[in-house]
Amino acid sequence: MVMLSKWTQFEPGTNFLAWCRAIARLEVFRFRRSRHHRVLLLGDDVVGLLADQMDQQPDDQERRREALTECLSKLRIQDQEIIRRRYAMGATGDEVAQQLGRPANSVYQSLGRIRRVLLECIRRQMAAGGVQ
Amino acid sequence: MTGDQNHCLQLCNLWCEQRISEDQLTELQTLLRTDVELRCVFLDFMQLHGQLAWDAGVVAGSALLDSTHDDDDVVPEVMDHSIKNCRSNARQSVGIRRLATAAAMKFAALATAVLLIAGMFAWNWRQDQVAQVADIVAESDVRQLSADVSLTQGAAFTEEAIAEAGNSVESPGIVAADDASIIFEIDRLISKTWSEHDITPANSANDHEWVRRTYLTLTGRIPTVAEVSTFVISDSERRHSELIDSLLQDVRFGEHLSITWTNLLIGRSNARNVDQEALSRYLKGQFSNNRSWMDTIDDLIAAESRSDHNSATSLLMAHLNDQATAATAMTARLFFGQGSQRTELERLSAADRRYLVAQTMVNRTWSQIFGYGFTSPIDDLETHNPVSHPELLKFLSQAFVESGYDVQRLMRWLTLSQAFQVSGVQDETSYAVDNPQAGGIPLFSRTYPRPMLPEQVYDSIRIAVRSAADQPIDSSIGSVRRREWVEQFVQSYGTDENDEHLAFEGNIAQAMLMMNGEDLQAAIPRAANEITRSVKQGSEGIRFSLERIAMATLNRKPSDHEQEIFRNRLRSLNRTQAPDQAIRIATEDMLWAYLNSSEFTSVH
Repeated sequence: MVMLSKWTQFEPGTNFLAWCRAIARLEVFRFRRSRHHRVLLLGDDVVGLLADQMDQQPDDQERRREALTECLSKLRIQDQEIIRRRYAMGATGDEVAQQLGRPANSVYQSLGRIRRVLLECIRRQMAAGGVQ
Repeated sequence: MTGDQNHCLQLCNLWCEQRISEDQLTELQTLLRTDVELRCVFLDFMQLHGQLAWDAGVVAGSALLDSTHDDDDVVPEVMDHSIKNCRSNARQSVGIRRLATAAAMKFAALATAVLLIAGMFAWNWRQDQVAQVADIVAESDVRQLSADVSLTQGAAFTEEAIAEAGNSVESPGIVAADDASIIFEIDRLISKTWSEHDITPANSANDHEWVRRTYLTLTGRIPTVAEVSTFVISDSERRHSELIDSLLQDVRFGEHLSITWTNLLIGRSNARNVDQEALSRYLKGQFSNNRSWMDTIDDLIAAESRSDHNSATSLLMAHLNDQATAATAMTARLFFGQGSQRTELERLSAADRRYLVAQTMVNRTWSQIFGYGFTSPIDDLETHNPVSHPELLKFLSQAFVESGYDVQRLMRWLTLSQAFQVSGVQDETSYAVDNPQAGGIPLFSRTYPRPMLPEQVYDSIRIAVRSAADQPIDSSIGSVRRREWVEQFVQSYGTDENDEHLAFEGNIAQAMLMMNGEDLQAAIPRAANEITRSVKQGSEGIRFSLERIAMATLNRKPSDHEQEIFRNRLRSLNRTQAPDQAIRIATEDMLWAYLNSSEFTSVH
């Protein structure tokens, strides 16, 4: 909706994605202000820094996604199961713990470990350039 | 990954699970503001989290998914729309379907990352009560268990080690029964995680494996041929605990720990010119006489802030302070496992302080003995850093406090526990699960091989060569010489935290040439000469020579393969040399080969 309403401001010939991102960023700030009382958020300056950083990064999302797919398939079955419950089924860590009958702490620890493994795996895949 | 990056990742994890405290969030933001590398880590993390969450139905593929996620309702509505619109707009503008999909996916993921930065907390917002309840349950579990243990203590558990622990120990002030029940509890908690992960621990290490590991762990060097055979031929049922107890009393135990802690406190390169000798001497006295760890810390800390220069410690600690004000931050990490300045720690209650000290020492000692601690990095025990075995760490820390911070006793518990008895070989399935090297949680179901420290290499080379030649081991090795040797491999980064780079890659040939004064180039042929001088001709002499050097270097018998290599070498030498020369040269070659093997320079 926002994108459509601002459509007239888009200058043909400029980077469309970048424009979308800029709009998204503004909306994010607005959204954050409206939610601020409820949750712990990063400061506006930090979000700004992060967004700048992201603008500088190459658009390699698709390669990342392929790397992630590859890396997920390399996980142990029980780790895949944790990821599936946490993300695909949208359960919280506590719920996953209940479902699996494991202590919540150990599930959070596993999640942290799995994310780290995935990050490192993705980094390796991207560096190797194997995924194109 | 660097420590900061690890720390940042931990905070990211807490954040996306909504378990972060306000202080930790402030910390995270500070990190992100100051370091562009950490911003990259954060973004990578968020992109991963975003892709997992957003694309759960696409990315994960058939392996992971039988249902698509239904989180759209909690994604902020306006963003949701804008992204959908963006997708359709992208299609319009590009026109080619395939490319359009790619672009849309790209955008979705990017937007997700931004979105997550903003909206994550609206998502899955829950109270963390369940976790708290779990903690309380776990706690009462431990208490219940300590009670159980004292009741069932007579019942044999697993390893003979426990029985041993109950029977031995003559050291004053140590109640043997307590040790047995503490070891029992360590074993119970460790084997609990084994069954939780459905893995089988490795078999017990054989005598040769065990005796080598024990000497390296407690005295920082390999055993001599005589020491190995004394242990192996002993028929005492308590020989494990007897050896451990005698090594704990050995002067080299104090020396080994003193080297370890001197390195931790001031670094190997001694960038600040602290009186290393005095510090080592002080620490050696403390460890050899088994002074309470708390007293040692108090000495060191008090010395830090005192201006009188009477004692060796205060002199050198003052010295240390002169040049590095951040030394207090370092001791906070080393002694308390906390990143904050020590002045903050001084405001802690006495009980909290005691517990922190114990916890940090237990974690450090555990990692020295087993290769991994309960946290990574080991000196970060703040609440945000996950602990692999929280119950066990807590139990051991309390036991350590109750023992009066008895370092020798702590070492004794750990080396007599089942985790220290297992070998390094394990079935493949369990091996794959318990693989901390690949980033998994260490479960201690087998012994993880690790490279020796440079000091251990230095001492072990000397022992190996001398013991092969049956020469007496000069116990006054000369710590100055060893240190000079080690310093050649160290490049200090000169930071307040003693960061240094150890350019030591186990290239023994090079390392040995740099052993000033030892003259190994002469010592090795001499050893070969000594071994083969008196051997009989024929296969018996060949077997004896090879076995002697295998025992002296790797503390085990030669493998079939090694025997074959040795025989082949001998055969080819026999064509050109007299028999007594041939065996001497073959022995010398083989000794070099063993010393250069990675097995020699590893603790396993």
